[in-house]
Amino acid sequence: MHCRKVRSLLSAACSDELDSRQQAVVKDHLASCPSCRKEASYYGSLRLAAQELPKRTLSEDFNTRLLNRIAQERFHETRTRAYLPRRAPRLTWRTLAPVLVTACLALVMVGNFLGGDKLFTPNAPTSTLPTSMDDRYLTAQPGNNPNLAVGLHQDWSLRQQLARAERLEQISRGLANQYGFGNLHLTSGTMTAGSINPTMSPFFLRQQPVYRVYRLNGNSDGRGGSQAY
Amino acid sequence: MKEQSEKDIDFTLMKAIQKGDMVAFNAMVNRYKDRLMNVIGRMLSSHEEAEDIVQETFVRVYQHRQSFNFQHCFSTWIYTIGLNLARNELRKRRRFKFFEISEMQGNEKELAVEAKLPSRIPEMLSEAVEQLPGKYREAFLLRDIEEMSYEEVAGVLDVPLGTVKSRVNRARLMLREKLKPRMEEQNALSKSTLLAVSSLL
Repeated sequence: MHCRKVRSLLSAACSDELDSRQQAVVKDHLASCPSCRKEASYYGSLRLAAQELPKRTLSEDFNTRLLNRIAQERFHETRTRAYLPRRAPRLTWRTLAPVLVTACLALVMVGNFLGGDKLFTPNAPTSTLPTSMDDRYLTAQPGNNPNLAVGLHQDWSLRQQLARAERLEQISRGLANQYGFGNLHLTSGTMTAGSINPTMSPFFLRQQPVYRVYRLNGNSDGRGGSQAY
Repeated sequence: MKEQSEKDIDFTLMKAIQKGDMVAFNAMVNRYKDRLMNVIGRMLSSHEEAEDIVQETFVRVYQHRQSFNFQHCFSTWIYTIGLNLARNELRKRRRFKFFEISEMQGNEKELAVEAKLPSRIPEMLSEAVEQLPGKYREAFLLRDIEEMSYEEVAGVLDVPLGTVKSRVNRARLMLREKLKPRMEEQNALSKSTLLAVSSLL
């Protein structure tokens, strides 16, 4: 074996890291080569120096200080970590499903408790409130009441109203002539029978007229004070 | 066989520690504190800092005791923690190097005393190891000072086996080059050394 090859193995050979065959080859070479033997001696002394290196030692109270530190660590652990989960819980369907099922069941039970037997009875009314109200007042008309139906007419067209007004005028005139009464005025608010204009909106005529009969106090011409009754 | 029994002892102690046994923890500290100090102390050079790092290593072991994987070796785990902490400390120190130099300017006398070259080869070796680049120093310390197997070193450093062998060999070569003049000066090739070499081979 050449010196160059042997020298590449010297470090391992001095540390006894070669297999027996290589170790024997190196040993044979060193027996016959002084320069390689000198090189090997450097590695040998290096190894001896490494073994003689002074040991680094720790201070005597190292264990005490360390155990104090560990005691602090344990105190810290019991104050914080013991009450906390090791890691944040993962939200998956597998973990959520039991929670959801339980929540649904709880809702059903609470609903059943509040709603009683009616909640899941097929034909039960959905509400305890009355379904139909007494709304007859909406359709109640004076015409339906015989006490209020006096003087009401079914037909409130303009023509009929004018006809009625004319008839009343005739009656009024006849009464005045016969019994000396004054004029009988048909009034509806500010409107009088005489002021009815055929072009006027029929809206005003859809009001129930008020009939007032005036009797003259002594005058037959209709002048002077009058008294309604 | 011995390695296996060491591993079993570590596992037994670790199981007890996981159950909160502080006596077991103390036993574990006694088993590893000197070994860790021997490596970390040579990486950091400052005794106080190295002691703090060793303490911090055991605190980390206690904090993460439940996450220890019994598929792996405990020694690999604790050395990995310790070396990582030491590396972080070195990184910090590099960042604040300016302040350290300014602090030292006032003590020129002390520096002159400290700068005196050591006379014995082991002391020289100690200084030479501290001057090695980090990755070579770690490999050399674990292999030649702690006498771990190459496989264990590869596990601690998390590098391939071939890389570890290469680094260790390179570190030895660098150290030999640094110590060579002193060895010759002190007539290191004395009979005792030659005898030691012949006994090794």
